[in-house]
Amino acid sequence: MPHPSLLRRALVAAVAVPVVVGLAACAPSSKPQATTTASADPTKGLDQLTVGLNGSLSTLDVGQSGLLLTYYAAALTEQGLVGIDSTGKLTPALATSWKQTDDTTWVYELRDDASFSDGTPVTTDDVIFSINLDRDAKKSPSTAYYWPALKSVKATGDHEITIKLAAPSATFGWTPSSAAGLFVTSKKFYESSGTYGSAQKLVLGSGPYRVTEFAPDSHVTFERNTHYAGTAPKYKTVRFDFIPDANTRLLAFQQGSLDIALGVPVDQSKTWAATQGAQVKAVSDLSYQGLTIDPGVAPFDDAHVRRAVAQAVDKQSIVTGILKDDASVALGITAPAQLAVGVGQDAADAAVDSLPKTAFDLDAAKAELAKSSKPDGFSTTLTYPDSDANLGKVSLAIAESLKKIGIAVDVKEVPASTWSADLGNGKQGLSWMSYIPPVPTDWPSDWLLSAQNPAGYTNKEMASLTAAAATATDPQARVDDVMRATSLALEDGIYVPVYWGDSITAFGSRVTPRTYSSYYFLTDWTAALDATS
Amino acid sequence: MSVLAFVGRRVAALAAMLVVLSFLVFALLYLAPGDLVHSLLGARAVTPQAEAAIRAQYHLDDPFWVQYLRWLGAALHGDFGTSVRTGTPVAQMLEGRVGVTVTLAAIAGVLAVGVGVPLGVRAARRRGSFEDRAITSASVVGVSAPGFAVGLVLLYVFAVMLGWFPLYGVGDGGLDRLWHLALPAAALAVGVGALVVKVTRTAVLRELDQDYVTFARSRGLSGARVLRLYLRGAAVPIVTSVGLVLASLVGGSILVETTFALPGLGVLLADSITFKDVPVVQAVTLLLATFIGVTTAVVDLFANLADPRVRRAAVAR
Amino acid sequence: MSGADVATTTARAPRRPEPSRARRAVRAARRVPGVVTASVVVLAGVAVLVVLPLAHGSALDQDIVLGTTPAGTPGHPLGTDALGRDVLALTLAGARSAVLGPLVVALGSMLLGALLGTLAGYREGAVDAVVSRYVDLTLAMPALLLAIVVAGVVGGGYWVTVLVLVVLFSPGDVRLVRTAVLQQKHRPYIEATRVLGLSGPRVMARHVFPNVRPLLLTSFFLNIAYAIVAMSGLSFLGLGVSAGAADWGRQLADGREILYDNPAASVVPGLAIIVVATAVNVVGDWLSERLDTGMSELAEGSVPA
Repeated sequence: MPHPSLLRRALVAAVAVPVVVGLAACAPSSKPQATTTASADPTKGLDQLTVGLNGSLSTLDVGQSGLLLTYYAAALTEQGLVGIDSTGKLTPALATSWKQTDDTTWVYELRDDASFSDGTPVTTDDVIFSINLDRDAKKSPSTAYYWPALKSVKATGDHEITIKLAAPSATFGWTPSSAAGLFVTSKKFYESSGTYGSAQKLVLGSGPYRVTEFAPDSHVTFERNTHYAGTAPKYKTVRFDFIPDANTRLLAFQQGSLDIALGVPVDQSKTWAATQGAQVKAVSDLSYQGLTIDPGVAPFDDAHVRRAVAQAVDKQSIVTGILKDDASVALGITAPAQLAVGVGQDAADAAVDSLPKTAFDLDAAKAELAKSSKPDGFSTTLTYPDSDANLGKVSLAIAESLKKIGIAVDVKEVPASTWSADLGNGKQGLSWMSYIPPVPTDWPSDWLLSAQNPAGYTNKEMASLTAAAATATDPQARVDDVMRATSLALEDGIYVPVYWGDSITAFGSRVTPRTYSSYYFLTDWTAALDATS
Repeated sequence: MSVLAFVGRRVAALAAMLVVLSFLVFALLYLAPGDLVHSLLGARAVTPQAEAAIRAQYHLDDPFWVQYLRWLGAALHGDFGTSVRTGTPVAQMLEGRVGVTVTLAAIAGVLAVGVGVPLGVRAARRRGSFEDRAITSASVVGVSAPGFAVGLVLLYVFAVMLGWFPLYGVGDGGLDRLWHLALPAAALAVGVGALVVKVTRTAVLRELDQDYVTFARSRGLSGARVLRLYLRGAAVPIVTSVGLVLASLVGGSILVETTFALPGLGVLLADSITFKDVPVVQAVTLLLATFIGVTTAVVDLFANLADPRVRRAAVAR
Repeated sequence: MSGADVATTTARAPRRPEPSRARRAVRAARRVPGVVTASVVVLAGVAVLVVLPLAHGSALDQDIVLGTTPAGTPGHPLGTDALGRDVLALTLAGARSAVLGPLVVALGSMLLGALLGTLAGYREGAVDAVVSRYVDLTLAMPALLLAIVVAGVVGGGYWVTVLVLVVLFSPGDVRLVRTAVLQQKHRPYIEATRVLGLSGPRVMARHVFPNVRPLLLTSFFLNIAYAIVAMSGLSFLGLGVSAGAADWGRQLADGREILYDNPAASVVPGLAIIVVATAVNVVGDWLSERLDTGMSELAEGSVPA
């Protein structure tokens, strides 16, 4: 009989080999896996729609937390006076109609049958209370951002509200919508709750769904609002699961636990698409990503240096190689999808096409640098927020290009809050601007080309053009002003636009979206989602 | 009576330490990069009025000492304030999360100790053998495997391939919650289990070397009795390390919480730190510190009582 | 056996020729388990990589148009990462940052632990109370907060992270040493040295400390492994190496997104971390066991030398 220890070794090997082979055989592949396991949520037809979010929420109060995901949750439960459709155009919500009686006066006719999900009717008191709440910078810092100064807001009838602005505004039409700054709730409920949006108190709104459960950092459950005044919602319950880890989200999607998954990483979209019955859709997320060059920080005060940097960025390779074409080369600052809301896609595309372009040309960049105050190059730093992995890769690619013309860039990753606090601090010659507008009317150019721009750039003409755009009543005039302001900044080399990003969303085999666009989740999207099974 | 005096001393020491810790954390947050105004308003244009409103609301312009003493005064009355990030009272924010993290750490601790100690004893008893090498090497691999990798492998094998456990989330309480936390606890346990195995092995080895073990064996005492004898001797270093390990479990769970999408204290603390949400950071840190202080006190008490050599030292103090 | 008996036995036994040096060496080598030899080879390889990074310069160039390619692509045996950099070259270059820092962390923690733990265990009283509270405080301090603030104030970077980790790792070693010292302090042989009038520090160094050393050594090697993983964890936050530097921890984090396109980009540095940490522990354990059996006779019952 062989030595006991040898026997034991043989036994261990005998068990280990098949285990290892078995694991290797079941290694992750791109073969479709549509099996559901015992842990999948109960799915009788479409009683429950499960959405996997790529982040998590600690509060449902949009005024407190301006995160995009908070808007998505609020879009299901709370309404504004108006809403938006998939092209970003205004639609009726709590108001059936509205008109502008003069430059600064808006009159809204409310519907008379709207109620909150607890059955109480929506009154003008509630609307006015919500307006004043949402524009109060102390109570609702996030939504207050969208409200211009008001002269007055009053009820001018049983079902009529009149709002008078202090000055004309190009975008006010969108402000009292759940896609910008207004989420109507019951005055009584808000005042008695104390902690609106928390796990204990939840929220109260008049939208198609009501929140039945909220576990911060875990999930939110919504149920059909039986008092909803519009068309009855299709899905009995909707559940948002917060799954910040992309690999876990992918596994859940492949398993069939998720009907919709947000935030598919650019590198993984092929793997997601390989899941049986899945549709992966990429659409502009209205975001702008580009370099900001502060002309107040040497050696970037030299125009030749700025121009050399602009010519050394290979935008096309970055978009194709790193972003897998799930993005587009940025020609300007505000993305065409946003410009299109007022003037149509064709006009928007023509507008950005007219902007001055800088071609990628390393030789020209070298020559430009040779003419500058630092012909032998110099070193500088570039930080990017840890919330965006793509920016890290793009930073490294840009650093490699700049190295070729003699500029050594030390790329550093910093926590997102640090990056955001350092924006415009006047100490960074080269920095990233990543602006992701949650709503259609929030144009990056409003800030980047204003007098308070984060580049520390003084240009009176550009500032006055941007100010004029803010009050322009004609959408085309607004676009024209913004384009002229952008040209000025680009010619002076203050901004080097790199890419306009996409958001990638995966839809499982049980659902198909209709009219999917950049604004999809800010609309009444469950109504535009068809059950395919 | 010395036990009572010991407990009394430690409680007082803990209270003093909590105050010092709260001051240190407050100071660190004050110095930390980042800006509450931008965290609340996002990376966009900030009007002077909005900035002034926020600075006034959160007393950001008060001198450091005034801000700290204001927080301390409220905390001493049991009022830990409201979270700046969410507007919810801090106590409410901690409510659900404490349960998740404690349960997770408890299961992981039970797994790590329940599997680690016996393995360590076995390795010591069969010192130098293939089994010994296998156990120590396996436990070291467990230590060296990065947290997210262990989590991902466990996820893939047990949740996806075998389907024995759910993929993510916390479940609906009771048994369902335990089922959901099993895999994440295992991932956590792998990391700390190695330390338990090694310390147990080293401690037991040293006891086995002692004269009294040889004596007991030669006198014909049964294996079980001898085991009890030397385990008692090895108990102190084992308990000391296990105590530290358990204490670190509660604070070090963030990677596992992110992979398995669990609403625990780790994620809350990390998010609150980067947001500079002072009330929440203070509350969570002090809670964890209390837990650690209590654990180390219990471990020290055990060491005092179990090992007469150490007890004499404690009494003499 | 009395001394006389030993002398007689040796005198009467036939003398064998002394084995040659070579034979003795071979016999000694055969007594070393294969695992330990393998580990030594691994560590030697790593040491070579640390001292002369084999891959540098053009081997680490990006190729963003190429992007991620799987292992086995011509010219890239382990494939490329998201920026088109060769994974093999990156892994070889990353050995230095992956190993040097953790080594310093473990060393620093051990030294700090030995110092403070001995102080606390030997002096007891108020000194012990203060050191123990320092331990509790450091354990309770949120590592993330400390790391972010230090990085924010001092400027981040690799060695700053190392320093922060030394502070954060020290409580474990301090408590370890303190407990062991407390256990040893009241043994009869130590009291005997005091009766003999030997000075405190001398007693500590020659008699108490050798008993503490095995535990500390075990902890040292384990800490290297923990530190390797901890530094790779901190690089998730941008603390540690710069974004573009070759570092196993960074590679691990960056490789997560391309796990399905080129698993090697994450798996290879991950395996490297595991293999090196394991090798360190295997060799360390073997060494500390050898030292322990050697020293224990001296420390335990024999007359103080």
